[in-house]
Amino acid sequence: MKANIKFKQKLILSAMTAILVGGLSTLAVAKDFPNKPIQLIVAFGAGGSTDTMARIFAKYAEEELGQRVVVVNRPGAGGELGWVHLANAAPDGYTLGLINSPVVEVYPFTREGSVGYSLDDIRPLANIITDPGVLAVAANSPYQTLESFVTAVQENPRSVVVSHEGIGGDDHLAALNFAKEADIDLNFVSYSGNAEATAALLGGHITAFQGNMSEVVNQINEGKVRGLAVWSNERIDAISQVPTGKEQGYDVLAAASRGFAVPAGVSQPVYDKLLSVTREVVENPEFLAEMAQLNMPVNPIYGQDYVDFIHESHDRLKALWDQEPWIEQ
Amino acid sequence: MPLNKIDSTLTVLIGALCAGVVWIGLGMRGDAGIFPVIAGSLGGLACLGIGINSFRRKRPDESQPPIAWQRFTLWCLCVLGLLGLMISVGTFVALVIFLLVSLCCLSDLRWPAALILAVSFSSLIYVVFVHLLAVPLPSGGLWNWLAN
Amino acid sequence: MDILFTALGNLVTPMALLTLLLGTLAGMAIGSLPGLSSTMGVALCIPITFSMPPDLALILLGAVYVSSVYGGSITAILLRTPGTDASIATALDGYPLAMAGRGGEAIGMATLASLFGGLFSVIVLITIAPPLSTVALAFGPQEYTVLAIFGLVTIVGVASDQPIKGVLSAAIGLILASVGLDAFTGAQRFTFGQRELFDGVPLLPVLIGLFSVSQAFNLCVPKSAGVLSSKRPQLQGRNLPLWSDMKRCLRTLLRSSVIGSVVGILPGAGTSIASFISYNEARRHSNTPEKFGKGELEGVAASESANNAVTGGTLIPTLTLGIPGNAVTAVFIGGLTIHGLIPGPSLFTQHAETTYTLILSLLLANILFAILGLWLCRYLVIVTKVPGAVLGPMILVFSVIGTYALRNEIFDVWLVIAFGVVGYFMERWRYPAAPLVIALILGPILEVNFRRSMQISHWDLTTFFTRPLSLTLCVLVVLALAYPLWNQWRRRNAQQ
Repeated sequence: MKANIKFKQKLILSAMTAILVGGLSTLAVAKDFPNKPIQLIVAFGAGGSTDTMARIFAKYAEEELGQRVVVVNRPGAGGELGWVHLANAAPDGYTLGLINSPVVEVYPFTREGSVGYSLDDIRPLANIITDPGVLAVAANSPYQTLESFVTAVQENPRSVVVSHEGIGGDDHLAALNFAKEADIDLNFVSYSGNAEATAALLGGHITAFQGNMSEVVNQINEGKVRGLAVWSNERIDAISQVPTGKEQGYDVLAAASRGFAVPAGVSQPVYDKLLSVTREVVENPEFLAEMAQLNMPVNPIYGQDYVDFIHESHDRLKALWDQEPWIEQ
Repeated sequence: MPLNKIDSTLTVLIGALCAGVVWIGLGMRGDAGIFPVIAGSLGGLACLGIGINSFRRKRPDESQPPIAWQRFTLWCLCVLGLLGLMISVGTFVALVIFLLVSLCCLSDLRWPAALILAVSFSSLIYVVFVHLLAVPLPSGGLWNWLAN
Repeated sequence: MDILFTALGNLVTPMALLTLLLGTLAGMAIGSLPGLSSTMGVALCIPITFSMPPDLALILLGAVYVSSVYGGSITAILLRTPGTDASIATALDGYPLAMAGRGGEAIGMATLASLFGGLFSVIVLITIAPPLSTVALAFGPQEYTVLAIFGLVTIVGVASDQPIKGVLSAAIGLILASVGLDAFTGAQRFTFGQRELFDGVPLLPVLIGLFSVSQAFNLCVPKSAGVLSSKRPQLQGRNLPLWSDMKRCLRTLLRSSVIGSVVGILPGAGTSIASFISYNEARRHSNTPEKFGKGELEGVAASESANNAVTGGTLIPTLTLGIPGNAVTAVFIGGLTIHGLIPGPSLFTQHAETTYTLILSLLLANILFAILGLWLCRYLVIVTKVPGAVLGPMILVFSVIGTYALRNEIFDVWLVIAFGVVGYFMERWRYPAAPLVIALILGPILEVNFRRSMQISHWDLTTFFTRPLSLTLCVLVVLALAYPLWNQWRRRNAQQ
């Protein structure tokens, strides 16, 4: 009997200690976070535009955090591999990842059954870059406006070839969206890199190029390429001569966004700390200047707003997919 | 085993594999299957050629030095051990143990020499990859598992 | 001309020369380690270059780029462990030479050939870059398709003593090349649900497995691999090739440099196409084609001058059109724009000073790595005297860690070991490994461009013969295929 009481006392005592220690340690985590290097997972290879942005961000974040920020490239499966690693990482705040919208939110339904993560496993932190989609033709092309392009496709659908960067990617979705809006059939050709596609456009091997603003801004400003439309709400400063799709009567919005996310289980204090660091970096004029020089349009969306942004985009694309899947199943 | 026997066995196996590739390729949607079908057929034809050649060949093959199976097995075990240790106890320890064991067993080096080589080479790798190139090498799941 | 002198003035400052030296040394190290590619080297340098003045930043990037391509030849020759696909063709003849004790001579030839190719392409870049950049635009999907076939034809030359086995090896490479998510339809092909395979079978683990890991097996497994019993080559003192050898190779050097520069201009064609086509052409024009693959200095010269000529070639579309010739120059564009330099014609007018500083730094980096290479090679060849069983474990460690570093994936490490075992047995059973790798590299280029051509031409196969450039390439392919056969027939006739 006595032994039993003692046992119970021990049990209560140890439980209390556990709670106390546990509580202290969460406090401690928020207070001296971070106390070791942080990993930043990039789901694409070294040297690409996502990677370049990550490495520049890491440089500024290190100053704010006082810890090394190590960029870890985990390319594979069009980004899925990196996001699986992000979703499965320990939710202690020492693993951050870059997510690329809209690709990150379409895999859960386009790859249903085989996909290795769900959007609920990832908690978006802050969007940094929004690179609007652009439909462009070569400068010597007969098409001056979106209207004349659409008419040409209606008259002779076989004469027009449009490039995009891989099926199911943001460019492909943008072009599909436009084709649906204009009620035309486009002949798509997939190009894996923007360099090859630009060369093909300038060489006259393809009619039009669906890509992102940052990829053709130099060629547009040099007058080698003509932007027919930019798929954004308003005109973009760097290419102010290019009208939006809306101005020309096609209500199409498309962009590639890059932002940060953490595994879903990260505690609120750590999440807040990372959010404030991101805010500091994004508001740093030097960081902004470097992004501007790389033609990466900064468009910060923080915290809950970004979470909503990703989920809204997911719901919109899911509805489109349910209506008419763009990859045959 | 003489080379032409190996060849004929291999061609049967790889030929079957190529046939499988062609079969799967024919079932693929759209034009996705064209390339696998071409590649598989090419492989099938090459297998046919090698197979016919190996049956026709009368003169004996030049003799090859036999594989030292004992050493081969030992070496394979070392390599598998390296990977297993990398995943479980971490890269640095794995490298030292792997180098020590393989140098001692396979190269007739005495253990002090092997130890010095193993430790210094592993340190070099660690400095170059972890510190200079900032590659997070596997640190071993065992420690995490023990900590929990 | 004035601008060249101003640019030269920028380069001969102590800071610039120090940057050049460090960049060259780092590049040579990166190039010679398996798994560390020149893309990775240049990408790692990008954050460092932010805080540097644009001149120094470009000098660093340029030096790392050209010397990392050269660095691959050293390990390819001495250990038969090519660090990247660009130096596979170098290993074909370089390693037999090293095993005959002529490693120093082979490295000497590789160094001089690299220097020749590098200088040639930089001079092309300085003199005729703008008109040549139109080549990048003239190549459409049809031309890329035929170019890829041209590359595949070289398998006949690489596997000359086992042609059918070479074809089988290439077929397996093509099958491996079709693994992954199809870019056109999104269909899964032979992925077996493995997420790591969705983007295809990664090239470098296969390459490192078939060459480096299998070499580690070769070195460790034989009974005579130990310290006490190993028989290693007697070194022959020569570190520079004979003048007569150089003279003999001059035509090959020139031809390979032209091929390298032109292939470099084409975005997405890749360094290895250039080195394999050059190797095959050298063999085709040689009086002693049977010596290729058994230790022919001319083979080393062909491959190395071509892969270094690619470096200048890739910069032509990068600087004139803003279209990067390969992954490394894509990183370069980032390095240029971050310093406010926008690739395009303005680089040769408004920012000519910085541009010519970059171009001249490539020139100097070429000369610098040649001097370093020639000086170091007498020490480096000693590696071939180390007993196999000591060398083998170290090569394996480099291969495993280098592969892991590529994309931080344990899956790739298993892949590299598996291909190592496959490579070991392929070599024993006389199945050449190089065709497999060539096919794995060229397969995607061939397939993607073939299907693009078909989509553009609406399934009209004559599209390959109705375009002048593509027709010319077709004729070259037929010549490359028919010439060896015709040669054989002619010799047989002469003997009778």
